[in-house]
Amino acid sequence: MTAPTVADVFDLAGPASRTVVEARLTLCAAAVDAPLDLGSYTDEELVGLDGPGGTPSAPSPWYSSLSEAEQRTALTAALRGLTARGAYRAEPVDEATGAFVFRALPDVLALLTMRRHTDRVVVAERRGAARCDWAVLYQQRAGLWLVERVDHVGVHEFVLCTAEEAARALTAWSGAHGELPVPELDVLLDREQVAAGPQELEPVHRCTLAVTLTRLRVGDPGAEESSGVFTGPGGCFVSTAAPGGGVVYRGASPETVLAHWRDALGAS
Amino acid sequence: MNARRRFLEVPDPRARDVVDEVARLARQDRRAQGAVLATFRPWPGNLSWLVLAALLLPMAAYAATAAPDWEELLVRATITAIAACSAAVFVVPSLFDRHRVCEHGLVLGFRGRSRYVVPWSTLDPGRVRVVHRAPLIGRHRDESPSSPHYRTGLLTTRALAVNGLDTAGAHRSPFTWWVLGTRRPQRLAEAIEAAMVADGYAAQGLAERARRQAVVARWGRPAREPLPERAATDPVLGVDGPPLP
Repeated sequence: MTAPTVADVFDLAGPASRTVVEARLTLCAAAVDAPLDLGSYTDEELVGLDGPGGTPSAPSPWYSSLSEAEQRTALTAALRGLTARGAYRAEPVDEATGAFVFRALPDVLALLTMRRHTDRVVVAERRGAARCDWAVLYQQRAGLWLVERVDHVGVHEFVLCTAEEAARALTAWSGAHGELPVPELDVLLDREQVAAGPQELEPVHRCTLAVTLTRLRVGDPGAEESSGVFTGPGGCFVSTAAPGGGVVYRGASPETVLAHWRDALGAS
Repeated sequence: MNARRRFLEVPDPRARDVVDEVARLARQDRRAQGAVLATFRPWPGNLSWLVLAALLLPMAAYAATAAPDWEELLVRATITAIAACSAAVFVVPSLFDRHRVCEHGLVLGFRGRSRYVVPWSTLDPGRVRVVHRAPLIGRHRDESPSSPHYRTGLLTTRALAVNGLDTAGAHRSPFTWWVLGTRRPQRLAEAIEAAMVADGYAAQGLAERARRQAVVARWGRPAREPLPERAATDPVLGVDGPPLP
């Protein structure tokens, strides 16, 4: 009797294989009805799978805090862990140069290509009292978005869902919920006034969560748009760029925050 | 009759509109499938009824014979009623789970507004199979026997397996096998064939093919995979295509 190998059991695929594209199609078909959880990965696992040296698509807070030598060790350890779990296998091509090709689970590779093959990305940075975390959203076909939440210790959680589901989840993530009062604020300030910390923005400064949204179009750096969502016990505020270079701060209800997220994601 | 409509095929999964098309079909609900033409239930098979009758009828007969006093009559009736309720637990799911053959697809599940729909354009008339001893099919597949794809009730022994769009959570492919328990799988196949042909799909001979490709699920390891998977890029076999292994 021949014992099956890891590759037999887990059906690993090369990054450019047709199986990966099939897996991406399958995941999209499964996500149209309900959000699809695509699992969690660490900073170093994602950097290792993407290949170090590339342009990172999301922050890696833990990995980027390490020294270069520590990063090398962390990458090796991460890929060893993935190999032991049957999700990754490196095959040397040239012993002399150390060149290798790798195979990984099609679902994992499908996830990586979803991060790369996108036209629109929304990056949200959430700052609280003591920590900072992120949500990075990648637009997919068929009205779907890949949501990557990165926590302050560098664990990345992936969910594939519709724009509406993503908007609702991120409204809650921004701290906006039904019981908050709606503050009365509607001011237009220029950048210098905002930097000076004027009296009008006192309620905004008292907020416990500040989310900065940046909408990007891949390949078009001029199309970057920024806005902010601030929440605290006193209510929610939304800041948007005004024509002419100013910033508008408005008191907002949770529904307004939801509408802001919908707008950012192009949900109807 | 000439077929007017095409089946969903994914020759190149890199094509940009493929995801949109598969997502459009996966988003279809019950209303998009049109009027219900026929309804089938995973009703218990003859053997299951015989076993239930063999258990319950003697108890009922005993309870009905002259009891020495009313207290004993009450005890006997209570025990019989409890046994009948226990048996009903196995039968009642068959009452609610329904396979609805509609104008444009199948609507499966307990509720009328079920999300489990299989549009005809995704149902391959070549990948159809009557399954005998259907509850054993879950032993041979890499899928939990409690998966929503197995709609065989608790006491059904026969089923029709059809391969179509996976609207219950795809795993390896957008296509999956739906195992539809029924006392008369051949009739279900005929109803599906008639509805597909009426809707313009080349499905003449589907029921005959399902009968020809019948398989008996076994307790032990089968010699061949009873329901071979259809990968995303696998073409439609069609009624006249190569038989399933």
